[in-house]
Amino acid sequence: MSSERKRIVLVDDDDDFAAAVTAFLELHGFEVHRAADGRSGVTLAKMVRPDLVLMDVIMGERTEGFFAVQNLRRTPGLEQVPVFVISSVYSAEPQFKVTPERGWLAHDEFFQKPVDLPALLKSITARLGGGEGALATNPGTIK
Amino acid sequence: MKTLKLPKSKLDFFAAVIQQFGEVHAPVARGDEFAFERLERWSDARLDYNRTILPPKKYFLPPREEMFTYTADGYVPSTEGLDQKLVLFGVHACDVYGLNILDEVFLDGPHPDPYYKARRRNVAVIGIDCIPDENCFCRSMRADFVDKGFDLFFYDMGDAFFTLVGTALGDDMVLSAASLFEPVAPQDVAAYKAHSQAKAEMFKLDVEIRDLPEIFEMEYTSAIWEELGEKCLACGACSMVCPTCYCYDVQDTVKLGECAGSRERCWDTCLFSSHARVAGGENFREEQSDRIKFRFYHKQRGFVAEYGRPSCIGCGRCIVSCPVDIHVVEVLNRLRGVAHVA
Amino acid sequence: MSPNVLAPAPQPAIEAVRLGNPYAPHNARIVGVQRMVEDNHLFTFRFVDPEIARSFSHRPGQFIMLSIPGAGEAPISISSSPTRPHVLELCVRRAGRVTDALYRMRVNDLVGIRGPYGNGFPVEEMVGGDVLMAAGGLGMAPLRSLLWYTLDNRSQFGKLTLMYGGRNPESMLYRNEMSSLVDRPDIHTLLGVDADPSGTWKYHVCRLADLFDFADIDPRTTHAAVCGPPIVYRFILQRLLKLGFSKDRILMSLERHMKCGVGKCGHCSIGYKYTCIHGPIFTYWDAINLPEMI
Repeated sequence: MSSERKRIVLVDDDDDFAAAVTAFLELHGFEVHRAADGRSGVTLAKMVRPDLVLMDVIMGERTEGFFAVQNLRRTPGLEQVPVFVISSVYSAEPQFKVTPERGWLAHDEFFQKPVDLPALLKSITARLGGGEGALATNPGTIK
Repeated sequence: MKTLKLPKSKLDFFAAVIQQFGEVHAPVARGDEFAFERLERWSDARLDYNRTILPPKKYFLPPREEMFTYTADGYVPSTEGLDQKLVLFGVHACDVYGLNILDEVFLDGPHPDPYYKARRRNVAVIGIDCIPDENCFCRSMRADFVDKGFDLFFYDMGDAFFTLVGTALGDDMVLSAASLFEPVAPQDVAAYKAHSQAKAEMFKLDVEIRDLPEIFEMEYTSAIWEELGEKCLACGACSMVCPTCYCYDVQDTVKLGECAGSRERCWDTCLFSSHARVAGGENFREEQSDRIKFRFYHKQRGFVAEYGRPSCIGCGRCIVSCPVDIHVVEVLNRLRGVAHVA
Repeated sequence: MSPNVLAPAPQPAIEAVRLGNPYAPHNARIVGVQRMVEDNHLFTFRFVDPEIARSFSHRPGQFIMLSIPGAGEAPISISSSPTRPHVLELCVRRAGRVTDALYRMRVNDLVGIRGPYGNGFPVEEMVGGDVLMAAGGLGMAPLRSLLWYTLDNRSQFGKLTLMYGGRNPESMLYRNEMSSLVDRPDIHTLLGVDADPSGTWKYHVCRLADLFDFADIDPRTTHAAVCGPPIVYRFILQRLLKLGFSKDRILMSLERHMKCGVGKCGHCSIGYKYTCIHGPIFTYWDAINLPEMI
């Protein structure tokens, strides 16, 4: 069992949302690094070498996250890093009915906004093991 | 061929979704010019480009390619990079035509080139419509429209693209993003026809190619070749940027101190003096004028004898890259005795 | 496990690079080296892989690409006949980097060979008729494969005539073999040298073209295969045309710089033909029809 905290890189341009998720995950023992756009998200991931990446797909440009996930996958050392996608794509672009289950995004799990935080935590824990010094809280959902 | 319509406003989603089929490369700005590079974000893509510095051939015949590694026990084929899946997004019709010409040389016949074949299989081609500039003459070379060699082709219809599906892979791409596409309506077809007509009238360069073979035979000893020989620097830029120039050199490299190394091939050009030099020193095209004559001859006439059409596609890359302004259309029109109309 | 859709699946296209790659040299061992003339040695090879040794077959006039690791690759005409397939004989002139490297090698050393390439002599058109083979100096190297092909398939051909000329006896290739042909009744062999300072030459002392005076050739029924340096071509062609030969019955073997052997690298181009695909055997008609031929 590692004595180091598991590292997560969170890529999202919504400051409020990012702050809330960061606080929640840090409370549960994860170390969270945040980037606000796709390009710096990939750069951050190269530096930090996270155990997991949380990525919003609609950021500055509405396809920014899609390209960023691909860039991650082509970065040596990051090809196998679990990527959880968080998105408001279906509410933001109602005509875009491409479903992520078909594997086109090279991601591991997809979370629709508004995100159910306990469900997110459960998936992260299942993938990485628990965070260090986790506290039991019930923060509900964050939009 | 299956046809569909894609609203221009959804093109970015399409590009995002097809990344599952391979790494997307598109024309991006490089200073005042354009080049095909890996696309890192949609806004980098410049689909309004006139031409890229290097044509898409760089993906299929890389400037330098390791064919084998060797040791004292013999040669072992190198396959690194051959299975990499790419998607070229935004290839002009003339460049697809150029790839079809390379296919005839590298895929047909008793000795298909396995390296080229593997890359052709793994690099998808999505074509896009374009507006000719003052150096384009693909229409004269019949290269402004293609019916094969691409997986998808987008033709401009105003606020949407007329999508031609060329292969099963193209079909898979469309199906993976089916919600983005719409069926083609009669008014769309009318819009496409109007656009196509307008485009035909935009070409500023024109050259008659029908009897070029005869003209070339008659003008084999013309003084124009001496004149060009004086001007030409033999820099080879025209060959490097030409979509259908494929001459290459092969060299064995050696690791110091070992009997080991690799056999590589790299771009070459008939304009270099070494091209026709044989062991023993004799050179069959010693003079610069002979070499530039040969290059024109091979591209505009020789290829016709073997394949029925010139291998020049009229993309204009050689025109913009020649440091001494040798202009291929000017040369052809001079040979023909017609004043070059700019 | 991440659903990594970017991981490529194994592909037959990649396998085609590993197996059946037309550029891949096959290992062959040197089994014999014989000095014939200065800077022109006869090398005999055997393929290491018995399957390739068994299945390798060529047409007279074809060539192979010879690889010496580190030095590169060069085209060499096959001197042995396909009727004697057990060994591959190459008469190699020392002229550049690859051949230099070959000359430094010994029996049992390994080289790479792939082929055969080129069109070869059009033997299907030549059967039933007469064949004249005229070689000057080193030109015997490619012509020898045709020579033994016709002798080993003797009943398929009419009259066979061999003319072989050189500057002096020491410049002739396969000297003993050529001498042994003189007394054979199934081929009219004429050997000539320009000069014989040693006084030991038993045959003609004259120019190659003058050997025509001793031969009885019917241009209507004969194919003429000519090989040699440019000066040989000039005089032999003169005589052949004077005799009334039709231009497409005169066959020549031409050489050019080659890097691939399969019509892709562009180096062997003559006009708009590739020597490795449309040649190396060309007719005289091709020669005057294509620019920059001789």
